[in-house]
Amino acid sequence: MSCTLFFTAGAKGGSGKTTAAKFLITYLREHGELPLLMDLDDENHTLARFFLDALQIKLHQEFAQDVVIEKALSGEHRFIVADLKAGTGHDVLKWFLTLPFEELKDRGVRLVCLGSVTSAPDSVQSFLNWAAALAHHVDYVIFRNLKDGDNLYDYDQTRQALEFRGTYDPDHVTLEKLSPLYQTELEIRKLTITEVLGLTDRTSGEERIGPILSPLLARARLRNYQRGIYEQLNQVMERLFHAELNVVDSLRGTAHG
Amino acid sequence: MPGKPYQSILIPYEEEILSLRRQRPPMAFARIAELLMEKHQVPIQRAAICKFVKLRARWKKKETQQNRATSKTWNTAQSHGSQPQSALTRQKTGAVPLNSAGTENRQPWLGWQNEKPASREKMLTTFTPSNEYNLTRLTPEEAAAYAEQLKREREKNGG
Repeated sequence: MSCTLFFTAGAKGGSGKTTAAKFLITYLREHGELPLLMDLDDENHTLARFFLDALQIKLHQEFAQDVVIEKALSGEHRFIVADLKAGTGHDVLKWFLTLPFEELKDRGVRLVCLGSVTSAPDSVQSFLNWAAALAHHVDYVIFRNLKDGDNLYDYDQTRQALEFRGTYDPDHVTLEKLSPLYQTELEIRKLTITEVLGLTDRTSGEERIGPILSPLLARARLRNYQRGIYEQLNQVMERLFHAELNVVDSLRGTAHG
Repeated sequence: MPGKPYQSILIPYEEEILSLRRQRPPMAFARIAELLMEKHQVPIQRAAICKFVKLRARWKKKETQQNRATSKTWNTAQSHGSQPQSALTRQKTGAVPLNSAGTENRQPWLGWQNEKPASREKMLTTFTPSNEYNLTRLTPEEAAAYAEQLKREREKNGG
């Protein structure tokens, strides 16, 4: 079975890399997939806080790469989502570049880079550092995170970003700004939107969701917000896996089922 | 008349000592002192070896910093066609000179190139990987024109 390894990229913290990974994970799960989750952010472990089944891997531990490669080659998982840490410098990128891209490709492992850009110039710069190094070895999905403003000037109107877009033709998903009230509440309670919407049991559910996320209107807003992202992810998946009909059919079938 | 300037008796054994300290885990200074006594009959205390190693580490660090500053100012001067600006002057002014495109001249980060596989090519021709912001902002019209130009080039190349 071929495997697709989605990984987050970029050295800028707070740009929404883990948020992007979270939406992708819940999307895949809602479509009947059981992606293997890898939390390689050994400082924050953000992904592991939201998904208790995430495999925590210490980036600088000896043989950390081996774990990633073994899991990808094991054939047990069709999808792997790896959340890498931000951090300063380029240590994570250097670490990632030691993976044998060509050999993995030959063995049916596909790598998809999840970038996240905001209106902060650093988020674009740091992502392009990754893109310059990874080049055509991976596919790109860029999350346009509008949390700090609608204008992503450095991604839309800089020569280098346009060149990246022209060269690699990345897919895009726009993350609209979510009310900070809901965002904070989700963070504090370590809940994904899917969990909030799934907890319909009024006795135990509302206690866990809390008074801010419980009201019907709040849930409706979250549902709409998530639906907008999932619709974009549908298109991304169609484009990424257009050659692999079984994957698209599986995702599409569950979506309509 | 002043005598001969002080020189450590450890100088002939510098490489040997440093290699023992470089290994992981590093050999203890006391053990190095014992080794020097056994091997070369050099009577020395462990504190003296410690000072010797630390001082050289400091010299090396200073030398690296100076080299870096020199190469940086040399690069800047080259692009401006002027005399190299001393690191001290640059520190005082705090200004980063601009290049002809109006963007700041900074040292590009090229570390990623060391790790790239042989087959990898640099695809983003105008982008230099860097720790600093070095993107060229365009007006909406320029951006649209450049995107169109890239599209045409891609079609021409059969991409």
